[in-house]
This record gives sequence, structure tokens and C-alpha cells, in this order.
Amino acid sequence: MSRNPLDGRGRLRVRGFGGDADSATDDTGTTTATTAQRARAWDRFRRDRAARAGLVIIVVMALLAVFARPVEIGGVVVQPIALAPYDPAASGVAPAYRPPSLAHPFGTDWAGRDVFSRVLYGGRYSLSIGVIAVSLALVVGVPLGAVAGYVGGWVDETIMRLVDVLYAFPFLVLAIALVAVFGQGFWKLVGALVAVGWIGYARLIRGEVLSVVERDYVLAARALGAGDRRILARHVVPNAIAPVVVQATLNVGTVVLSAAALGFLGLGLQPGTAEWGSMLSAGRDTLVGGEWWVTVFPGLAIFLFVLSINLVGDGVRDALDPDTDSGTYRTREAR
Amino acid sequence: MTLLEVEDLDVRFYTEGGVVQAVDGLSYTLDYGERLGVVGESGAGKTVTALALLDLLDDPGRIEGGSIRFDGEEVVGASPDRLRRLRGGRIGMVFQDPETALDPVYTVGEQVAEAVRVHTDLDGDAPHDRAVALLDRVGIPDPAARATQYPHEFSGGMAQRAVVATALAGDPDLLVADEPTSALDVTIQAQLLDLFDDLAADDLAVQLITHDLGVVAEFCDRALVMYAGQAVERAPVDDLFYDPKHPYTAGLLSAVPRIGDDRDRLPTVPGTTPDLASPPPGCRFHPRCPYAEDACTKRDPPLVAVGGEERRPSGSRAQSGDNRPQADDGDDAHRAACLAYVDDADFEDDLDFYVETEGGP
Repeated sequence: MSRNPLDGRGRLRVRGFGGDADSATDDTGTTTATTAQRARAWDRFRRDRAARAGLVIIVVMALLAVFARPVEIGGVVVQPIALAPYDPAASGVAPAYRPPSLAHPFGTDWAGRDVFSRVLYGGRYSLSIGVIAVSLALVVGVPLGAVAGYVGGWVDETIMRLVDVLYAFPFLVLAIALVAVFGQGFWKLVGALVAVGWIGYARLIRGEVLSVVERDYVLAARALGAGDRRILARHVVPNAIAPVVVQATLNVGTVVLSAAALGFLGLGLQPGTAEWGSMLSAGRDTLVGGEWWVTVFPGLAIFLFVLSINLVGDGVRDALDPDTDSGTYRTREAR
Repeated sequence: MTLLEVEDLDVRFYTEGGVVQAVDGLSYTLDYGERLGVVGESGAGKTVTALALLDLLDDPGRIEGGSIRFDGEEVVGASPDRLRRLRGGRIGMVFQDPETALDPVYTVGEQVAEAVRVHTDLDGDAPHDRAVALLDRVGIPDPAARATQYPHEFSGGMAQRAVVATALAGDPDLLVADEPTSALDVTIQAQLLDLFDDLAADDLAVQLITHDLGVVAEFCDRALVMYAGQAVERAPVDDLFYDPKHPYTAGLLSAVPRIGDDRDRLPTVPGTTPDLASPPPGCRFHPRCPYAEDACTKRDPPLVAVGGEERRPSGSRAQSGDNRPQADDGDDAHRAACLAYVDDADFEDDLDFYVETEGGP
């Protein structure tokens, strides 16, 4: 039995094809609300709870580090607050190896220094090393990688072969060699971390640039008479930078770990500095003696910071690149 | 007056598969305010020709010979500085896909303003104001608000208008539009063609590259039919459509669907464009040509004038009358590489081509 397929269905009534409806429907485009890409990325980031928690922890640690002791610049006190109850460098504020108590929440170390104050203050070193080393590595790696990818030819060959050579060295060996040659100190440590850190960014952005230069808007910019430098700086790099930003965020954690590792090996800052890695190193004998608080608290601080950075990095990646499934970018800590 | 003279242009791409002769001995001219349509299949060299005009060819591609004179100045081998002034300043370019021709990280207004900044001395807010004026000029409603939006907030038609606005930023004399409407739907195409029409009325020359013969018929003054890197026919639009000479042109025209046509299938030009790394000997069209003879496999036919009398409506020939007989030999005239036997051909079988006129030509 044949059946009219339209039986029993509602009729579709179409309205709005009158004369005045026409004028309302030109192709003026979509919405009127202007949501910039950055705003959308921030929106996505905010919805990521883990990343938000990580960001809160980092901000709190940074604030604690800043307000741990007064900051003086050129003899003028710009930040008078002192959250740390004791001077982190002052020894003998209490007897050595006191377990945690109300007066000394994290106990004291072999010289009778307050571990709580040292952990708070140590954030200044670890956090600033992480941020400064990564920033400087970006400043070196991004222009070199971008130029290599954009110019190509022998420039590309030269820069990338240098990157390959540096990649061939195990990170710690190279850093140890650099510290051995140049000596210890904050800026020398940062220098060693930058020297091994920029190659990752250079390689990453070169690959991105290679794909971005094929896009139509780069050709369009050339057809408009824009110069190479302008095209590279204004059109190519901003479109290639997203994965580098993600990588850099994740790398802050890696760099802090590396600094701690160098500090643990005694190659970081001067011995006795309240840097978390150096504190671990100085306290490693105490593990046998049962004075666990000397090492556990700085270790916990490192752990918490690196974990938070990784959470934030994941959030940044998801925010900037919602289509990429996670795991595409990896940090280099495995090396 | 002649704005653009392309003479004997050779473009080759040095690829691993061999040397590809993408453009081979192409010559044409374009007058101030004239509209030239360039048609042909994909791979005919239309886009390469357009890119060569601005020396924008990328690495494996190189201009190997010939000359391109824009307003009397040689483009081939020009200094980077002069090229930059030419690009966008004298010749504006519009690309096929508006969504990818705009940089996603800047607002549309900023991108137009950047083009203004490259070609003028304006600074401060002036480039932005000019950008808004340009967006208004290309028919974007509420230009001040739209200028603050990002490309992804623009529809295809609006984005293409914005691309046209960037191309107009340097106040060019020639607009090269590479399939500007191919990525858009038909109603938007019509609106955009209206815009081009409007712009061309202001004495802007337009070189329109397209697959759409309907667009050529409606918009252009003259047309250039390209096949496998060569010009096979060059004619005023009316002559081309009512009296096509080259079998390829006739084949293209027969493949245009017509209202009221009740054939089940449109005729096609059989085969595909040849591999330009090893083009067929003689006439490049001969393997696909229903009229090919032995001679076609041996001789590469040059463009020759059609018919005895050449139509020369404007004084262009008299003005450019110098010692380049080949280039200015009646560029307004109808010329074809093959004075095909289209007239007495057997239309019933191979090439089904006919023209119906409205109210008579």
C-alpha cells in the first residue's frame, strides 16, 4: 500500500519573504558583540579548574616570596612587609635541628636557621630563576628560530645545525660544563639555563613559521608592499607563537627543577643560599639522621610550584589551541 | 592609454619533477580603466601570471624571460624598494579565499590601516580613519564598528570586501583579482561584482581572473583565454562570446549551462590539462582538440589576427605606435592561436556550442 509521505505531517509555513523583510537580510555578517580571541582564550582558561588552582598557588607563592622580607632598592625600602618571622640567613635564631613547632613551623636546620623563613624567601630565587631564564631563552630562541624559518637557505642551515649540536649534549652535562667554566652565581646559573633552553623554542617556532608563511595572508601582506621585517614581526610570529607560549609556560617548571638539580649538585648558587635546591643539597645528610623537616619542606615547595606550573601550562594550551588534543606538546624533563 | 604591457612572459618552476613552463610567451596589454578577464582551466597559468605582475612568485618559480611594463616602468628585475611601492601602491591584489587572506590576529580595521600606513605618510589616528572610510567605500555597513572586529566575525562576502579595501589602501591604478568570487555564494558574488563595477567606474583597471564565463561576459571589456601557459585567444568580450575562434574557447563556452537548456549533460572538453613539465609537441591543445590534424602536432601556432579587417575602436594603437610591432599589433583586436574550423565544424557531435541572443547583438 502506497502512502503519501507527507500524510500526517505538519505543513511548513514560510513567512517573511515580503518586501521589507528583504532589506533587513543583507550580509552584514554575524554578531555585533566583539569578542577578541584573547578574551575567548581567557574565558576557556578560566573555566579550567585545575589551571585556575595552579594559577592561584603560583600567585600565592610569588606573593609570599615578595613579601617574605622587606625589599630595598638603592637604600629605599619599597616593600616594608616581612612575612618571614626570621632573617633567612641569620643562624642561631634557635638551637640546631629543632623539629617543627609553633615558633618554628618548619623547624630549624644545622645552623639553627628558621626553615620556614628560608622556604618563603627561597621562592624569590626559584621563581625568578624560572621566569628570567625562560624569558631570556625566549628572547634568544624566538627571533633566531623565526628568522631561520622565514629566510631559509644557509641562515636556516646554520642556526638549525647549531641547535642540533646543542641538542646532542645531555642537558646536565652541558650546564655543569658551563658552570664549571664561568663559576657559580645567580646570573651564571641563569646563563647556563638559557644556553640550553633557547634551542627548544627556536626549533618549535621555526616549524610553526614554515607552515605560517604558506598562508594567504602572508602573500597578501607581500602583495600590499609590506617589507620582510614587518611581515615577519607582525604577521608570521604572532600567528606562530601560540605553541611556544605553551611550551614556555610548561618550561618554567622544568627550569626550576633544573635549577634545583644544579643546586643539589652544588653547582647552583653559593652554598648556604636559601634557594630550594641548595637547601635540599645542604640537608641531604639529615635524611639519615631523621630530621626530615630540613628537606621535606623545600622539596614540597619545589613539587608544589612545578605541579602548579604544569597545570597552568596545560590550561594555557587548551585555551590557546582548543582543537589540539593534549599530549602534542611535551616538556623536556625526560632528558 | 596603455597601463600594463606584458610581453613574451616566461615563467618556469624548477621542481623535482622537471622544469614546469607555467607561462610561455604570454603577451597582453591593459589600458587605464579597462577590465580584462583572464579565463582558463586550473593550471592554465592564470594565477602565476597575476603573481608575476608583482614579482611575488615563490622559490621554485622564476620569471625567465619577457618583460612586464607597468605605466612604462619595467617590473621584471626591479629593485625591492620599487617593487614594494608598486605592490599595493600601484597594483592592488585580491585573493580567492577572503577568510585566509586576512590575518586572524588583528582586527579588520587594523589590517586596512596597516596597508594605509605602508603607502602613505599618515600617522596617529589618520590611517585608522582612512581605513574606516575605505571599508565604507567597499560597502561595509557600519564601518566604524566593523573595523574593530576580527576576521572570524566577518561573513565571506564582507571579508572579501575588507580584502578589497586593503587592496585599495594605496590608491592603485590596477586591481588584480584572482578568482575573487569563487569562494562565495552566488548572491554575494553578484554583490561583489557590483562593487567591482562601481570601482572600475572610477577609472580603476581590473584584471579579473575567473573560471566563470558569465562573470566575464557581464563585467569585462576584453578577455584573454589561457591554455597550458599560453594565450590561445584574446578578444573583446562580444567577439569572444559570439564568434569564438579557438576550439578551446568554443569548448569552454559550450560547457556553460544555460537556462532553458534541456540537455541531460553539459558537453565538456575531453581530457585534462597537460603536464607542463612535458607539454605535448606542437599546439598544446591538440591532444584534446576535436579538429586536430597532423600539422597541429608539429607547429605551435602563434596568435594571429582574426579576419581581414581589424577592429580598432580606440586610439591606443596610434598612441603606443613605437618600434614594438609585435606587442602593439592591434591589442584591441580579436586574435586567436588557431583560426579554427569552428565555423564549419560538425557541432552535432563533438562540440555543442551555440549562442542565443536576447534582443539581438
